[in-house]
Amino acid sequence: MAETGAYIYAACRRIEPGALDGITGLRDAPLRILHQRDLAAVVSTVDLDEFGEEALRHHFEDLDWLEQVARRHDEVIRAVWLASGLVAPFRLATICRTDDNVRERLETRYDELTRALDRVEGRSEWSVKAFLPAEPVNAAADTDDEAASTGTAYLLRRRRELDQRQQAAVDADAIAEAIHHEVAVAAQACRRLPPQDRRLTGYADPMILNGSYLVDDRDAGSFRAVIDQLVAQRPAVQLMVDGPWPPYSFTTLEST
Amino acid sequence: MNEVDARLQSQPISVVDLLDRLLGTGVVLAGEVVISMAGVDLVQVHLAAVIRTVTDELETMR
Repeated sequence: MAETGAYIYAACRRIEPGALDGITGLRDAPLRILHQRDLAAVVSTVDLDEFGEEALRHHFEDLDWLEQVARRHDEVIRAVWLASGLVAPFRLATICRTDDNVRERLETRYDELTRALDRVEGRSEWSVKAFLPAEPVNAAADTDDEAASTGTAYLLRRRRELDQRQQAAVDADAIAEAIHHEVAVAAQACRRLPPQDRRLTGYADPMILNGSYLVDDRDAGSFRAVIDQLVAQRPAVQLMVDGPWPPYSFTTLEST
Repeated sequence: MNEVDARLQSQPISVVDLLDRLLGTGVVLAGEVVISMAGVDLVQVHLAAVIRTVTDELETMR
């Protein structure tokens, strides 16, 4: 028989037996809840032929595989989130050899996991992205036709174009920083992720901010009001808000 | 609006946003009894995604 492991989706506290009925894990394996003191881990059995170290390295290159696993991982996280009201999502593909190993891990990281869960209790993650159209580089400004034909004029024009591009990048950074700051004030915690490639976002304009914000669920309304205010203040910038999501970005343990 | 109501209205997440988070953040366990993709290079994943997006576009154009 092939070797198996225990794939961990999330940690939580107080989850009713039966709360996850109807939800299955990867490859439709049944979910199990493992307890250690007042913590619980939601796991399912995976085949190490598919989820072993060597196999993972190979599958990681396969975006369809990655997407499928990430989707199921997320479904379980969201089910735990809805059922128990509190969840610490685990990094994709965290697998222990045995159930006992999972409980040992919950015990060794007990304090940190407890602090992480405390940090996100009653709070959700929101994503705020900002897109800024690139300014057209105004090359022909104040150049008269005769001068433009000389070598010196050409070099001057090239330099002006470069200066404008550099200035535009500096301006975009400043705008992103200002928006991030204003949004962060309305949140309990924040984290900037690298802006996503234009080919992935489907937007013509470059992403200048990819921010994650941990917001108290009671403050969701005022958080949205801050965004609406920013939209009104900055017509040149396109803002995209998503959420509420499980607190994916805010349960990283201190020592990792 | 109470907590659960707010969460039931939660939006699905795009796969790019999801991978940003499930590969870049979240609880990481390490140790000899654990297999994990903690060291995953996000740039690689994004690169793979970009290549696929571009390939898909080219196929649609045909």
